Amino acid sequence: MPTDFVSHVRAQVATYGDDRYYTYHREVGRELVAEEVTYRDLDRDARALAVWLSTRPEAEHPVMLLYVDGIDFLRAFLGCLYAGVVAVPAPVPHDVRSMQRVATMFADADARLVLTTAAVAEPLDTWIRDSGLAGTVSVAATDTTEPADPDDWRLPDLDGDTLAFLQYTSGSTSEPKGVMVTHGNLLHNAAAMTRANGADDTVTGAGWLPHFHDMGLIGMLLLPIYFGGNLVFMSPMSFLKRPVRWLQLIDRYRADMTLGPNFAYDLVARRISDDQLAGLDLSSVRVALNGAEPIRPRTLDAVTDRLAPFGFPAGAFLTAYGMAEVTLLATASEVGCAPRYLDVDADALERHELTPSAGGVRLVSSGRPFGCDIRIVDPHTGRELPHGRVGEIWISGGSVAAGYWNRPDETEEKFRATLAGDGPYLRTGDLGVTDDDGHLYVTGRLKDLLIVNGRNLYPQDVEEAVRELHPALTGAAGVVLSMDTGQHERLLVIHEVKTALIDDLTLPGLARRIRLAVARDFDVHAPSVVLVDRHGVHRTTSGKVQRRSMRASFLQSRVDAVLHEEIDPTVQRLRATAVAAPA
Amino acid sequence: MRIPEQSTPRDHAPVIDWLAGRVAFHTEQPVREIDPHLPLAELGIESVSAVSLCGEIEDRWNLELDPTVVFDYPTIAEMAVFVVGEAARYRTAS
Repeated sequence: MPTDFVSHVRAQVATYGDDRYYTYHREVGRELVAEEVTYRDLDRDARALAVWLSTRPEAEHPVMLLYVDGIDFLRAFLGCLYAGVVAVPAPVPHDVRSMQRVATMFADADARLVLTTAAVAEPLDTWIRDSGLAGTVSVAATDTTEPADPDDWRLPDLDGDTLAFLQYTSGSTSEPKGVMVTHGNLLHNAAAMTRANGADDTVTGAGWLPHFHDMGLIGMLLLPIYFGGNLVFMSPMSFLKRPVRWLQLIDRYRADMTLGPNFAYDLVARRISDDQLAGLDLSSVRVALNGAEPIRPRTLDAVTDRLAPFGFPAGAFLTAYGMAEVTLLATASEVGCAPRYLDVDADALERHELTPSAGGVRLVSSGRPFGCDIRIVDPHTGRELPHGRVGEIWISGGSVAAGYWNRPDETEEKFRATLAGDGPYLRTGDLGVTDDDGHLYVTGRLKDLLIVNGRNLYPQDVEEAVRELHPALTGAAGVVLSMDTGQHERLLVIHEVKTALIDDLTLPGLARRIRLAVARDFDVHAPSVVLVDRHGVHRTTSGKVQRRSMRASFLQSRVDAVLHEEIDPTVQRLRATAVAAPA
Repeated sequence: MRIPEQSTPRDHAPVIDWLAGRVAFHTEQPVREIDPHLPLAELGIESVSAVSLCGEIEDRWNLELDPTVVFDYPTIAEMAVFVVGEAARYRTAS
């Protein structure tokens, strides 16, 4: 039994060689052009890159990978693993903010080398110079570098504890957190996912997820070669431009498995016309995994209804829960079964109690644990709670990552919790409850985190950006909250205004500026905005803003010193409900 | 922004109407609420919808566009001028 991922991949290459393939659909003009590579091709390219990496002293440090296309990324990623080099996947920056994030990741990981393609290398060099990193960073374009001889490759000294890559989906821009995923973690979670999906070597997976995101990297890119299947895929941009392409991919290749975040399934239900669906046969789908962000019952129902006439099976949805800190997957529902719903009282849920209620909020189960042990723990007392009580979700097992890179205190706090002397446990920061059959329902979040379109967004990043928008906001307190409307998460900004400095703008003008800037800079729906006078935002004695109490005040319409508001109707509805409830 | 010689406000009107219709669809609002002079971000178009919209414009007018077009021409009115110009260029070129 291999204890490292590379040996496992090599065994798959030996078994399947040219009989299994990854087919990437590259965007050329308005068309998608298929590029097919076999396991053997991937192995050869990985070995060649690994040999080249072994000649680069910068590769003793983590190496950042900046690729536009997933197939190019995969070659480089495998090359790093084959060389025993720690890979750091990252999104190619496209503006000042994303370059800033990449720069802080780079500094945090103490990287010295970036692997990319020639097309990206030139603008990247400019960005690197502008970010002040020029002295410490080398950029290499792997598509134009003279390839080394793959036959010179030797398997490095790897075992289960060897660090494979750093996953930076956690952490704010100012404090990025690199989750350390070992070879052992990867093998363990890949095995768990294979079991959860019921996958084997007859499976073809289809997808479009970003490769720098945990679900795209592990769930889509690495899983098929792990279990000996095929993958057909395209870039997220290709999907978003024409969402029907996802279904066309499934139809053309008779895909058995696919995966995506809830918002993507929502696009499928709402944005694809009958004309585009005509003639598609989706009956090959056995598993459609839904994860990475809260799962919405209405979306599952809408997709099942919309696609049933085209062969999409009723029990295809696999609802799942996980995060980078547990490599990827923690729980999943049962293959072939319809989603499990639970209707509960909304007010009780706000108080972290679960009271079944026919007309209440509909929760959907994220299934049972795979390859891990789940406990529900009271976050204040640290004691385990029984079924039916909402608490923090704690996870243990071989999929739990080694910790955060270079952050021993946070690692200790997050990854090494103990429960009545047992442990270590990962404290997820998510709230949930289990039923008597051990099915998990994720009900909310303890941590101050926003999830939009499967992406983690940190309120402090948005709060900092808002303060910089105008002198009347600079040095004033503000909070950014995520309001769950039942179908989406929508941002709400509550901010103090130094009215003496407002000058050139009106209050509505200031609110507009905030809405526009946040929408543009963070790729979100324009937020609702409440402008308040000084001291309208609650603070602790040490000056820290209190997001939770501001949320409660907003919902109860008890925000002090309101100067001006612009509230999205879907958010306003939440507030009205809270006010209407009897005291 | 330089308006191409061959396009006039009369050319823009049907494009504005079409774009407003698509934006209304993406943001789930009635089309009469869509102000063609407001930034799309303010109307509720974020990056996911923006890229889909880009794809729809490509299909409707047979163009090849960079998804950043929505940021370069942030209102419906400005985008209409751009689209009319691009469509004319494509017709001239082909």
